[in-house]
Amino acid sequence: MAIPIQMPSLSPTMTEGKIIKWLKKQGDKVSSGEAVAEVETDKSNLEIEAYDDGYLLQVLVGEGEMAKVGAPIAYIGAKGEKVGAGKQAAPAAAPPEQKPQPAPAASVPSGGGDNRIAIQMPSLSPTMTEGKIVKWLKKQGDKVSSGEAVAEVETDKSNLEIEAYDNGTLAEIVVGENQMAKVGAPIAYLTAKGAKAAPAAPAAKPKAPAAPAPEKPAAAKPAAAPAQAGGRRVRASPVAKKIARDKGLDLTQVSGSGPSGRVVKRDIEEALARGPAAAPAVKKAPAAQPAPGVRPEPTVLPLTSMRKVIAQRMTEVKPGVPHFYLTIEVDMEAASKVREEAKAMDLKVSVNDLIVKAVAMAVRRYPKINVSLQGDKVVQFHSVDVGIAVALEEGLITPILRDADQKGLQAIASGVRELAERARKRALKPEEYTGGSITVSNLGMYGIDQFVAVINPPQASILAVGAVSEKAVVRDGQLAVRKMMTATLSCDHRVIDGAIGAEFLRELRGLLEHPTRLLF
Amino acid sequence: MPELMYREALNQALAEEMERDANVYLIGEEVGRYNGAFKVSQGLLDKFGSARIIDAPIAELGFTGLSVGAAMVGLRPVVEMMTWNFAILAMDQIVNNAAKLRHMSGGQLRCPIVFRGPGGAGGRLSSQHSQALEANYAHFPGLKVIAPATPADAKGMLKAAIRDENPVLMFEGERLYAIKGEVPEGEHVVPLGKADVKREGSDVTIITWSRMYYFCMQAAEELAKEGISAEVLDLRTLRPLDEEAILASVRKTNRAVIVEEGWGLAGVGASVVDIIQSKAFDDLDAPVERVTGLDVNMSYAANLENATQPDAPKIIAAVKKVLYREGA
Repeated sequence: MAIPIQMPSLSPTMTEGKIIKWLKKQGDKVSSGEAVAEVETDKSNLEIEAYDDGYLLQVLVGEGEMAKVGAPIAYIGAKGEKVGAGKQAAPAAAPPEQKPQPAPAASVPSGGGDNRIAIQMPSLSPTMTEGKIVKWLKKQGDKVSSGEAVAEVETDKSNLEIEAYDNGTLAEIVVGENQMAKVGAPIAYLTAKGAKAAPAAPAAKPKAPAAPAPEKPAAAKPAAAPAQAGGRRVRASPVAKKIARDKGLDLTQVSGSGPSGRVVKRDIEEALARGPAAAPAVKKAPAAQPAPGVRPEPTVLPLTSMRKVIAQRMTEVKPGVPHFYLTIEVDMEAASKVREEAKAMDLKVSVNDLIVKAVAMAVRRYPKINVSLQGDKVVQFHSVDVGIAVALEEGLITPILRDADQKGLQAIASGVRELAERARKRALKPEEYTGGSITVSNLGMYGIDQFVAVINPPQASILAVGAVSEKAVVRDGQLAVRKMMTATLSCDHRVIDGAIGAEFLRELRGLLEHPTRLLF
Repeated sequence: MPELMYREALNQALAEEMERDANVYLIGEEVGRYNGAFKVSQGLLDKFGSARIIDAPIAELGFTGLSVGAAMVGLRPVVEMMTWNFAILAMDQIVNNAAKLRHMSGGQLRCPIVFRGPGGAGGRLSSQHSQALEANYAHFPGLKVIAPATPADAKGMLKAAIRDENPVLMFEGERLYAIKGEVPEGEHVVPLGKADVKREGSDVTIITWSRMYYFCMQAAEELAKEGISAEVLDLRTLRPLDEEAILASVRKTNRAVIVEEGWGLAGVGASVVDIIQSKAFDDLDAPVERVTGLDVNMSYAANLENATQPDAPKIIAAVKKVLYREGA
């Protein structure tokens, strides 16, 4: 009996997942515990394992397609077994609305009564609606085996090869080179192994899905430009790369003004000055060049899974959690000196690392801030785990630095860097971004002076950190120029009261203004 | 502080060191009765007598070898080359003896000697008399090579060179001798191997030495009018190079232009580029640019002579290139 492989729940917030890649093909032998597919969740990319031994009978959800948690994505069974019977026996755990969708990339009988099997234009990216055949790698009459590449196709993102899912002979090519086909439309037909190749009869087969050429080049362009940048090597000067790495700026989002589009220091400085939202716009500007008099149409993109979860969570959190805000100004002269001293010792410690350390120690001293409201209970944490908000191209994530109060500055610096790097590669494990006591969100590198952040439950507070900049302040009745920083704590008023937050901030300010206290 | 010409500053250094140490003597063509081809030794014969201010025949290899021998046995000779073009004849004594005696004798012999004279183009003297040859000597371990640009550095570095226990080659300049500047009186010793930030800036580091320093300062003034803040780093010593100063400045500005009167191939600037690219790669915002003498023999014609050498407009163009402001 065929047994379904279901989309597993891989993170606490995951409601659906996208199949990035099938690691097994139809017909492959699969053993329990073996990875069969790679799936993208709202947080990271993970592998799905099979829970049974058998053969992969049918793939229901193609690469680039979404499936709800619990929905079957493939069937496993005995060799050669038909899926039909097993399908109905899908366990009750699966949501009722699920319907096994035919994978667009899969071959399906053409319905003509013969043993011809259609090869369809697969969906190769989340935004792909149609693809262009760049080149046929097989000619009509060529033998084709399952897994073999038959054509090269250009999507909105890149050029990829289409593989056949069956053995047979390429009986007919429906969509010629340089022609477009909508996702799911047949692009060729295979004759099953052993059967005679049908004579090529193009007129007999529907050609409707094949579009001759892209109709709206102007509209298609802006969408394609940033995506391409993601794949190719970005030319940038060494110091531009260094600053981008230090500030967590995505170089592909910065347009270069140097020779051959080289990204140079001033481009980075300008991008940082403009802030994160403006950065991608820089890239798009030169690409969108509509014909005179034609207004460019807006591009409509489907929500990525991460964006979808952020959208949903923020709508829930902001009205659901009663926030209140406390703001302090911190004199960062002494903290800046610590950083310079670290630099003189060739240690890479950022202001943010110092803040993370100080936050962790302040939480340790004021455990009343280290709480979480869960249902009708208050959970008091005994470890200090600090989340760090990391901006990604398609959203953000807050990896957690565990036991931050126990760590030295150098361990914090390297820990934060390592987590941020893996977050950007979407390689975090679920336990690395769940839980936590408090989050530090720093927009200082974008020149933001002050902002308020939205709490990331189950945490009960978040610290929004602005830029360190020179300000005129009064010291002993005299005007003085000092390096100042503004930080705003957002608290969940259901479990944290104003006085608790204020005491915590007083401690935090003390630690940052007298960083030697971080030693004790 | 008194204002002196470069030649007067050298004269002061020589006189002070000869008064301080009886082992110091000056030898060279026309240094005595004629008071020096460029008047560096003006008045010294009268002051110190012909035993210590020695007029040599036109035989560079001979009086250089004689002085290397004198240094081996305890004197501290200062050998004046009428120009460094003529010192090519003495290269065997400088390279094969002065530079290597300490090594060849296993440390038993030392060679505290100064070779000095004008280098670079003088002005309409054509190719045999217009060469900036410091890069040739900077190549050899065992030698120190200095090329001060200002009168104050000329005095302080010549004093340091005379006191050094190893052979030091000093490159002056026919067009530097009349340049005036403030020079500290008395005990003013500038350590060898230390570069000097002559002008602070934040956008680009212009690295240079000797006469090119003045073109660099002129370029920096012009650039300042356009809002470009150039730092001018005067290397002063070409061997050993002050790596620390070079790297500190480039790490600050992220961009570098190296200006050298001599030819580009195997020039001192090439070694400076190598230090920068290997030790400050991550701090660079643009490939390092060099402005050098053109790769030809020097013309006699004044217009061609000027075109062959670096000047402020060429330096400004290079600075704009590393700042990605070409045509701006």
